[in-house]
Order: sequence, then structure tokens, then C-alpha cells
Amino acid sequence: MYFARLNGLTVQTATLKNPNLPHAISRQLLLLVNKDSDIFQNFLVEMGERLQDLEDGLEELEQSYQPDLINKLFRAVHTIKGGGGFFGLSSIADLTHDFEDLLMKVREGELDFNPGMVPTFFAACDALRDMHEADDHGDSLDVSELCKNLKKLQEGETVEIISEPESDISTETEEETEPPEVENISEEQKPEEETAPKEPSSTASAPITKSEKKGGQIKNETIRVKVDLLNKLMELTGEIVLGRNQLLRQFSDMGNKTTLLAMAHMISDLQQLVLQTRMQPIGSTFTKFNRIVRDLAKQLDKPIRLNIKGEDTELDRSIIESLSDPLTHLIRNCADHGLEDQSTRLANGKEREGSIWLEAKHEGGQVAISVRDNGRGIDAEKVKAKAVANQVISQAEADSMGENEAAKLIFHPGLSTAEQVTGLSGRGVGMDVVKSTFEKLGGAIDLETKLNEGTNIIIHLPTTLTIMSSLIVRIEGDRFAVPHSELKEVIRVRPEDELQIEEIRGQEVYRLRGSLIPILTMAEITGVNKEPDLDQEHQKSDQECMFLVLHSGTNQFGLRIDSIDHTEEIVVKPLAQMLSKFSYYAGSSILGDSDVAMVLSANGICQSHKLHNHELESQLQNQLSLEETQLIDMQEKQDLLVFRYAADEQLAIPLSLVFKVEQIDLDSIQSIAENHFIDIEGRNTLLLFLDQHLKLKPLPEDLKTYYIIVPKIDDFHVGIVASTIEESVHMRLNLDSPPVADMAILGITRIREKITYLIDLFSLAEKVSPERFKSHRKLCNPERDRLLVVEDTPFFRDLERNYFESVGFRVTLANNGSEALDLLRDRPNHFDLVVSDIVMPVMDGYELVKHMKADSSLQRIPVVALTSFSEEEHREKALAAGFDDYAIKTNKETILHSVNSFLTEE
Amino acid sequence: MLYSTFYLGETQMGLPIPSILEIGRGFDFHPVRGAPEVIDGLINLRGKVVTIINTGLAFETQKVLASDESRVYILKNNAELREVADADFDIETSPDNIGIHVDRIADVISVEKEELQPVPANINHPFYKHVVRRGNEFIIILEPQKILNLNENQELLS
Repeated sequence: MYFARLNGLTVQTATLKNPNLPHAISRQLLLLVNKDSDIFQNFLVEMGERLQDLEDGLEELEQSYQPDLINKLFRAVHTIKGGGGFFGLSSIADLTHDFEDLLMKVREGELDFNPGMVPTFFAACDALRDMHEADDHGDSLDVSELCKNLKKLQEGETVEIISEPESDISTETEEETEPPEVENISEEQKPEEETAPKEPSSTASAPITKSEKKGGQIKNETIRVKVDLLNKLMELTGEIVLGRNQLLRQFSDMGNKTTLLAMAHMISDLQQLVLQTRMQPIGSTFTKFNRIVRDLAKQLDKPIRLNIKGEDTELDRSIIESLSDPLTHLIRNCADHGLEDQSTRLANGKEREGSIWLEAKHEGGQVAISVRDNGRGIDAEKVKAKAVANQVISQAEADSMGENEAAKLIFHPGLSTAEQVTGLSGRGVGMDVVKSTFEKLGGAIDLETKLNEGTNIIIHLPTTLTIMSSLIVRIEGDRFAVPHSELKEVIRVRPEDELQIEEIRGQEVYRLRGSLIPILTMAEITGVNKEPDLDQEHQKSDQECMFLVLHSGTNQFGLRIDSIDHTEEIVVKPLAQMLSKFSYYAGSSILGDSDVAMVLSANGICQSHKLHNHELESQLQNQLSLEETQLIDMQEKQDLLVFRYAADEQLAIPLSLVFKVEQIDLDSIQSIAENHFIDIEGRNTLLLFLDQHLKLKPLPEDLKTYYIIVPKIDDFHVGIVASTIEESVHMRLNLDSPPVADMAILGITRIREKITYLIDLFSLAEKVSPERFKSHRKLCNPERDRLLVVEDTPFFRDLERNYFESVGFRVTLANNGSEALDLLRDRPNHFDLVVSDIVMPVMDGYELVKHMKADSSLQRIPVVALTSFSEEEHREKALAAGFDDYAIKTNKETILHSVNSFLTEE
Repeated sequence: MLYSTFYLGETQMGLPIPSILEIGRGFDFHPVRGAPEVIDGLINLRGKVVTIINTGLAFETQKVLASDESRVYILKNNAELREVADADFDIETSPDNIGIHVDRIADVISVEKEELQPVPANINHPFYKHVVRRGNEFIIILEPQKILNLNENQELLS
């Protein structure tokens, strides 16, 4: 590091600290070293890094004192001092000089560290940071007050720091009775000290190098590389990847291509590594918020704690660079609007200190950053009112909006909820800019809020922008690349399917699990109608069609495609300027067969088509009449596994209850008496022959192998024997009650024109081992245990009713939250417990529970969430929303257990 | 300076050779859905994606159709032009390479500065820079920068 080499000079400038001299020297030096020169720019970079070290060290010091930390601070300050002196930045040099002296005294043990010093340290650090960022690098800044404080500490005095920002310091100096004298004193003191530093700094250099060596062993060694070089490296690697793809394709039918494949692998590794060189931990961006929040807390007079998590999450450099501004905006919003002032917080029973959480983590190939506060939340009604007043949405739209959706309106340009515009935020610009910044980076922003509990803003970002795994599809003869990060799923609609693409007001839509998504065609997106290819392409669309479900943030839409080619890692090349206005393209790319394909951008398509969920939803809601809602109900579908036991009898079980299916040889079966076992994943599994438990024909005699279906039910480790596995179907279940009253048969349906028994695995389990599966029976009192089951899917509705009635509950059914609420409000005392699905049309489980908990006559009724999500975060979300418990649909045991626990308590 | 000339229909035109990266043929054009017709498409020039303009449509004559005789002139971008920096080139053009699709390639001609004549007002076009006389023929000299900066001529793109 050249500053070490410059130390001689540094000390020189430091010794000559007559107020007039630094200028003379700096002038001289400036002749040598122009501020525009590389060397000066290097210094600024270096100083920035050292300031970061300083801030990090101070944060740690605030927590606990360790001698090592003082060393770290000392080194940072020392380096800055060196550079500042060399370039004649007198304010920086003066301040760091006194700072360094103080730190040295602490380090050498001449002075004991006391926590009271930390605020002064921070103040000095902040002042340095300001000078670093200022255009004149602090030449105009008065640091005498700070220097005086540092000196006072050196003398062992205490310093009362009330406020550190320099603006305040200058006012303070004005209040001072005789400021010039103070300065004089400090100057007079200097000459005595001036001679001193020379010595300590030379003696000090020994321990420094020592500790640096020590640090070097722990830390990875780093080297500074020009970004430009990295970019070129990246570009070139991209080309090599393309070349590899082309080679692989060219030689795809060659026999022995070991060398080629080995090289291809190495190129993949190379690509990974080069990508990594551009990756940086997000930490440096995050830690600077410590200071911002500290300043904000002071300015707003609110105590705020910033909790940072996931600083080591890595992102592409270019993305990290663009994150700082929008995140600053979000954090300021949290501090300014989100968090209440102290008295309000105390009055609301919250702790005095507000908290902001800033977290980053990897999530499904993307990085999720969340900015959360525990403040007042966003008042959805207020936002709606404002949006209606500003004509962003209509009253009707506003009425149909949920809380979170309404809160998302703040991303609209021209909406700000702050009643009072402050200097910091609330000017009604910003959130839309924040949103578009993230979208430009290929990310998406989402928001959750709860009145009086806080707001959580989640940003999803791709980890890198340059190489993307993409799906190559054909649309009307052309090939397009769709990045996987924007692709949710591919759906094929066959003519025999229940769910078809429908048309509402000339716009094609599709019902995707209860929500309606618009289906676009390339012609609609580009506004160019291709002359129809009258051959197969068109005929095909009559029979069968396929579309991609793309998403940008929370917006979803379908894009019609003809076929899927393959998946490929592509390098996205920016479009030529003259094409850049076509925002529905993210760029172009060269595929493995050296063809050029356009890369589609879901964000761009959403923007150019102004697709916003709430607009569409409300538009559709106006359209949807009663019959439409019935349609949703009718069109819920199930995944079923269809198999046979006897050759001509078709059976089915819900696929969601299947753990795995295996084919086994008869030889591998071992028997003890009547029981047959097989080893599946190291577990001895009992084989279940259905004809022993159900009225079915026996298995065909001539089988060489069996299929074993292992169900996903706790404590029921059996393998259901099947002769053949037919298929798995996704269909609407039209269930008739079984002809023979058999508990284990849920009903009869037709699958591919064949009569099929749908097996109720839980009842089957009960039949097989009654002692284990009926233990919970009749714990409850049938006189008063009246259950309301809210479930939109007919299949689960029946299944759940079955569960509950089998153990003696009296069950009432509702199709969705709104129906349930009507029932409940009609007869508030009629129900003892509500069991509700979460995802439902019209009114979902979250809304239902919210309404119930807000209604004094209903809030006593416990509500159990019943869903097919098994992830812990859904559980947390459900409990946070007000559900009293949470159970997985397919697990009868936990359902009954949680239901019982509520009813027996009373 | 040397000029490479080509035919657009019956009109002969020329481009200064230092502004040309290469002249190729037999490229596969990949259409850009939604782009104006004047853009023939994109080509893969050894790993570089280059946008191709149909010169015929840009000059509002007959569209240039791909044939054995048709050629694509790839023009140098900013950085490449800077390398041949010449007083004649006032180079603040485009960071992208642009290709122009022409009907037929013709001779390379050497033109002295004095031979360059202003374009007659009645055949004015933003791309035209000079006119050169060769025997009974007139050759129109084009301005590469203007072509490279096509996006400034929005009316051509519509």
C-alpha cells in the first residue's frame, strides 16, 4: 500500500500544523498531485474502505470493548491521516491526527477505555465520512470542536456529546463565548505534541504490521482489479459459453467426445467463478444504514434500532450499486412514516424504541431483501381514499380491494400517506421510483402491512444479470427466450380438460387455481399480426394449446406459445439503441445453434400492457356474475393417481397423499405368517392387499412384479399393492356416493370413461389398524360440538366432513369465507369451532379470520386453518393472521388433534 | 479516399471504406416481432448481435430482398471507428454496430475531396452527404454516422 510508503511525507505535513502552513504545503503538493489524478482517486477509494472499517469497528465497540478493536480503529484512522496529510486536506488531517493520538493512548494503555468515548468516536467518524463525500473534501469544514473533544478525552476528561452532526457543531461554536481562544489553545498545545507523534508512529508501526499479518492469515487475501477488466472478462466468458453450446450441438452425434465434455464442464466452472468475481456481499450497502438510521433517529427524535441480517448474501456488483438509493428511501420511510413517535408508541403499548429490520437471504435462486418495521403500518382506508381522490382508482375498485392490495397503491406515482410532508419524505414522489428501480434490475417489490403492527417490504432480485437460465419457446414460428426467473409454470390445455381458456370482453383469461390471469398472445404484445400460417400451427391451436405463466412481482399473466424447444443458459445482450423502445424485450441472445432469439421481459410486458392485478381483478369482478362464481366452484381440480388391483378394476387415490410409488420383484417380498414385508428405503414396510380389506377381485395370478404405493400418512407405513399404475390425472372430481356402504371408499367417479373407486386412505388405515387410528374417538360432546367447515374444493370438503363426522362432530359446510361469515353472523352461537381453508375464492381464510376476530360476537370461536401448505412460514403467517391453530389437510391425525384440543379445553 | 459502392435498385451509392467493418452475405435474419419493417432483423455476427436495416425501405424505394447478389454492409461502431480516427470522421456515433442490407455490390472507387459535390436539394435525404460524378453516372455518398444513429430519425422507424 503506497500510503505506508508515503508515511514520511505524512508525518512531515502533520508536524507543520500552523494554520497557514497546511495551505502552503497543500499548494505545493497539489502541483505534484492533482486531485483528478489516479493517485488521488485511489486515495478516496482507500479512504472509503477505511471509513467502513472504522464504522464497523465502532459498531462492535459499542457492543463490547476489545483491545483488538482499538487496533483496528487505529489502523483505519492512521491510514486516513496519512492520505489526508499527503493531499493537504487539512480538516481531515487535523481531525484524524487528534483521533489517532487518542486511540494510541488507549492502545498503549496510558488511558483506560470508557464507553463514554464512543459517541465522540462516532461523531469524528461521521465528520470524516462527510468530508470524504464533500466536494471540497472538508476544506471548508470546521472541525475544531471535535478536535477539542478528542483532546479532552485524551486528558481523561469526559465529553458530553449532545449532537454530532457538523451543522450543530457550527452553531455550538457560535454559542461559545470565545471560540478563537479555544482554537488558539489547541494550536498552542500542538507544538509540544507535534514532536511527539513522530516517535510513537514509528514505534507503533511494529505492532501494526504484526497484527496485520495475523489478520492476513484469517482473512482471504484480496487484490484490487479494475471493474472494466472484470466486465470484459465476463463478456468474454459469455462468448465462450456460447461457443461451448454451439460446439456441443455441432458434435452432438459424435461417438467419443470425452475431451469436449470435459472442456464443457470446465467452461461451466469458469463461468461460475467469473460470475463470482463480480459478486459482492451486500454487507457494505447494509452497514451504512447504521449511520443513516442513527442520524434519522436524532433528527426525528425517535429511538430506533436497526437490525441487520444476511450481510454476507452475495449479489452482482452492478445490482448492489443500484440498491443503495432505493433502500435508503425505504429505510427513511420506515423511520419517518412507519415508526410512531415515542409517546404514541408507549400509548399503544409498544416498546419505546422502534425497530427496523433489514434482511437479505437467498430464496429460490433469487435474493430476497426485506425492509420491515414495527410501526403503525399502512392505513389501507386512507390510501384508498387518497387514491380515489387522485383518481388513481375508482370507488368500486377501492371497495373490492383487500388491505395489502390497497397498501400497494403507494407504489403508484403521486400517492403519499404522510399527512405532514417532512424534509425527509412524504413528498408524494419516491415509492414509484423505488419500484421502477427494482424492476429495472429485473426484480420485483411486494408489500405486506398490518395496521398498528408494521409494514414489511420484500424485494426479490436476481443474483446476476448477465447469464440467465432460460426456456426457449416457439411462438408463431419465431423463437423466444424466457428467463426462468420470470417463468412460473407452463400449462397445456387439452380440449377434454375442464378448464379452458375463456373470453371476457374479448380478452382471453384462464382460471389458475382460483385466480384469473390474462392470456396474451405475441400479436397483442407487439401489435403486429403475423400473416397466419395456415398449416398445422393453427389447426393445432384448436385442439390443444399451451401457455407460459409469467410473473413480474405479484402480477401474473399467461403467454400463448406453440411449443417448447429446450432450456439453455443464455447470455443476454442489450438491444441496439434503435430497438430499445421495445420494452417487452429484455435483449437478444445467441442460442447454441447460433440462432438469434429475442429475450422476453415479463416486467416490460406488464408495463407496456399496464397489467396490474387489481385492475384486472376488479374488471373481472364486475363481469363475474353469480354463475361465474359457481363456475369457479365447479372447476376445482384434483390430482389423482389411477391404478389397478384386479386387471379390470380401476382405483384412484389423491396424489397429494402419495409418498412414493415403487416397482418391486416378487422375490424381494419376505413373509412371516400372513404378513408380507418389503424393504423400502431401509424400512420394513407391510404390504397391503386391498382385496383383504375392500370388496375387490383378487390380484391377477401371473404377475412378476408388483407396484407399491406408499401413502403419506403418519404412522401408517404400508405399501398398497397394485398390479399396474395407469396414470396420474388432473381433473374435476365428480364424486358419487359408493354403492356399498364401505368406509374406505370415498366415492365413485369416471376417469377416462372407466368407473373408478376413489379410496379414502384414512378410513383404510382405520380398517387396517383400528386401535391406532381410532384412539381419539368420541372425546367430544356431540351435543355441542358443532363445526363449521369452510372449504372451496368439493373433494376436500367431503373428505373433511368425513373425518369429522366419523368421530362424532356435527358438521356444517361453507364454500368460502364469505358464505361462512354469513352463516356465522346469522347464528353466532350455533358453532363451536371453525375449520377453514386458506386459499379460497371470493373471501380467503385470512380475510375470514380477520372479520371474525373483529366481530365481538364471533371472536370467541376458535378458528383452525387447514391448508395444503406444509412450510413453516405459512404456519407463522396463519397464526399471525389470527388463526388459533394450523393443520395440514392431508393429515387427519393432526387435524383431529388440534380440533379436539380446542373443544376439550372448554 | 476509397469508397465501396453498391446498388440500390438502379441507384449507385457509396460508403467510405474506413467506416465499414465488413461486407457479408448469406446471413440468417432473425425478425424482431413488433419492430418497424425497415429493420430486417438481427444477425449473429460471430457472437455479436447486429441489427440490420433494409436500405431500400430506409430510402423509401423498393424493399431489398435477400438474394445471391444482396449484401450486408456492417458498419463500425464508435469504438472501432475511433481506431481508424481520421480527420474526415467526426465520430460520436453509436455504440452498436449496424448493418445495411443492399441489392448488389459494385466497384471500389477512389474519390478526391474536390470531386465531392453537395447533394441537390430535390433529392435530399438525411443519409446523403455528397454526390460524385463518374462518367454519366452519379454516385450518392452516404454518411455512416447518420445511419448508425438511425434512432434519431424516428420518422424512419415508424
